[in-house]
Amino acid sequence: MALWVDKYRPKDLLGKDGVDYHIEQANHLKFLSADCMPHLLFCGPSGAGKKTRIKCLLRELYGVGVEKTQLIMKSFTSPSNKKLEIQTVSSNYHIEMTPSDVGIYDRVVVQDLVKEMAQTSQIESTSQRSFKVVVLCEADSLTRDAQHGLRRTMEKYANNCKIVLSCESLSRIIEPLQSRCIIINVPAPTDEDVTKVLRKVIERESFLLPENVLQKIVEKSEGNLRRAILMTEALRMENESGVAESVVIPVPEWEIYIQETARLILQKQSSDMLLKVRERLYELLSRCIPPTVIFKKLLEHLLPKCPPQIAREVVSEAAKFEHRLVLGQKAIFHLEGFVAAFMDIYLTNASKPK
Amino acid sequence: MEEPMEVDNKRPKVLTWTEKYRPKTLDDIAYQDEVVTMLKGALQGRDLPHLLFYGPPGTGKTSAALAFCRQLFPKNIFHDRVLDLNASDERGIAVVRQKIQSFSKSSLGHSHREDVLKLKIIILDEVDAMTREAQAAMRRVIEDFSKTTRFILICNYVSRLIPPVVSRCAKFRFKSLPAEIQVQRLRTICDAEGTPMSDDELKQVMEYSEGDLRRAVCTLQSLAPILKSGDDNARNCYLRGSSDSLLISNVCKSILTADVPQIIALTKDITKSCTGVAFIRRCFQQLMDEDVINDENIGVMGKLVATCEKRILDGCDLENNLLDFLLTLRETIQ
Repeated sequence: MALWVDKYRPKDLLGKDGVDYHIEQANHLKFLSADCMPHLLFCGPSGAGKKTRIKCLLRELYGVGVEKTQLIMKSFTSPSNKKLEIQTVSSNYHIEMTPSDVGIYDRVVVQDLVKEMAQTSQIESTSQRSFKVVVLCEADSLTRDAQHGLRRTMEKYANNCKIVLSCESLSRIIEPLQSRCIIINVPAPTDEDVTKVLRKVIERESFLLPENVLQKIVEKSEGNLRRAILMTEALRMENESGVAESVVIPVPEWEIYIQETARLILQKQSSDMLLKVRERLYELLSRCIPPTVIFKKLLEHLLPKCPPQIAREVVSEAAKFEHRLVLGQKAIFHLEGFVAAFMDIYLTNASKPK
Repeated sequence: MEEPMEVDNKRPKVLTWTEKYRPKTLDDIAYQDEVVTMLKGALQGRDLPHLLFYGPPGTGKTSAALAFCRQLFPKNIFHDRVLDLNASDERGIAVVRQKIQSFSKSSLGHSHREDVLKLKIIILDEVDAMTREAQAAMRRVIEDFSKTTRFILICNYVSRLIPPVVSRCAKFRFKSLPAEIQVQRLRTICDAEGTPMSDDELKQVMEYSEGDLRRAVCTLQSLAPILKSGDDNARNCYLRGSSDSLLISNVCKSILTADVPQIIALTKDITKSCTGVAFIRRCFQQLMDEDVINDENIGVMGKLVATCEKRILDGCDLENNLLDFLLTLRETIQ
């Protein structure tokens, strides 16, 4: 049994099974695929529907045949003779892979596999499209070298092969690549959009969900449609008989834990407390919560509680420490550094004569 | 193993416009007069130094190099005389030692025609993506075989090359194309493709592409089907492009009056609609135009924009940096 997320994934760009929001954009994509298709770069936050749109586009281009996919492990050798493998999903018309899976060797993937794909042309191009499509996921985690490697490939073999990139943040894609693609921005759906889609799903599943619970889900999902649908399905699984109005959407434990940590920081600013907080941070890290997520959530809980005159300073510090966190190795230093900086700012402000 | 340099266009229909309208001869290269004059001189038999082309993307560096080689050598000997390596090829130190060296060493066969220049050319595209070691290995090669081989190095940032390599070449900077030339070029393409477009609309496309002609042509192509369909409503809504400009004007309006929670909410909104580092940059530009950022605070804000850009490029979230930017802005102007 397929998850609802997959079951109700739109299949076409437009029409009955079409996408539910960003209709104008879908129209645009249809136009693009009809003429000679350029290289595309999809960017948008997770759960906004980038992948869905790419799939719809492929279907629009090649018809149903594109859905007959198979999983192939492709092997290649790095210049230092290391044997590596990468997982690809391919149909007769397209191939999909995530080169960043192989870390720093993604350059070799781009230089070998993608180029090889691009160099061979489609057989019998009269009956179908004359080009193939290479979908590269998580393009923003490609290394610089790999991105440079794509540059000439995209120009030289543009006839044979169109490249579709999908990424979350446009800023990590180098300028020359951006200028070779049409950038398709897929913003997160608005709350109304999410509500609309959820209504449609629960209606088709004949699942009764009180309106206020629906709204709560929409709010919790923060524009991530996938999360919204998954939460709805989880609710259905838990409450077979029906959902009461008063049902509480479960919050992950670690989130409560972070919330509690934030409360402690605000409660008292001293070195004892810093030690206590540190223990809690360690606890979180050892449970494999990504440090960037801890950072974000921590700030989210701290910021509304602090007086407006210090907000600027706090955010500046947060941005600084987040940067160091990304560059550095040991997460705990930077997390703790931020907490200490925050305490300092908070305390100085509180002790200032009014 | 060498593939043909450019795929022959037997079916011109499938070509993207950027390839279709890529300058074929030196005369077609827009605006880069010094380079074109020099290359033309070389075509007529004057001395040809090693060349280094640098400049922002989409200004015609690769096009100039390829057009020059194509005019210099007739098609039948093109592949013997020109070696084109770009970042999509393996270019470690081993390649410099073997492939480049052996190509430059090989002597020229007897050409049937006297008028063809007795030179081989190695085009190294995207040199700034080569490692320092590989660059260093090239130093001797460039000098030793200068009797028979010329290098054309192409890169975006000259500062990423090691100085010894730079000093061996004649440097040419490719300037960003000014607005009039871009509009003119886009106009020619529009006419050739039969897409009706007003000057204003072309200007919009151009502004969006920030001096990068390739991006402008790309955008134009993506708009073409809509423009041809002749639906005025659709036309307006696609030309306006992303919601960026709307968000930016929103920021400019509210920044003077908003309090902290409002700014936080605003930032959340912006990050949801996903724009990259370009958002901060454009916002900065707009604020400067509207004189919100003026002589007094441009120092502080400019520095902050630079810091934020660096942070984001290093892999941080947009949200925090944007918040930092907006809150500092608010504090400085109040």
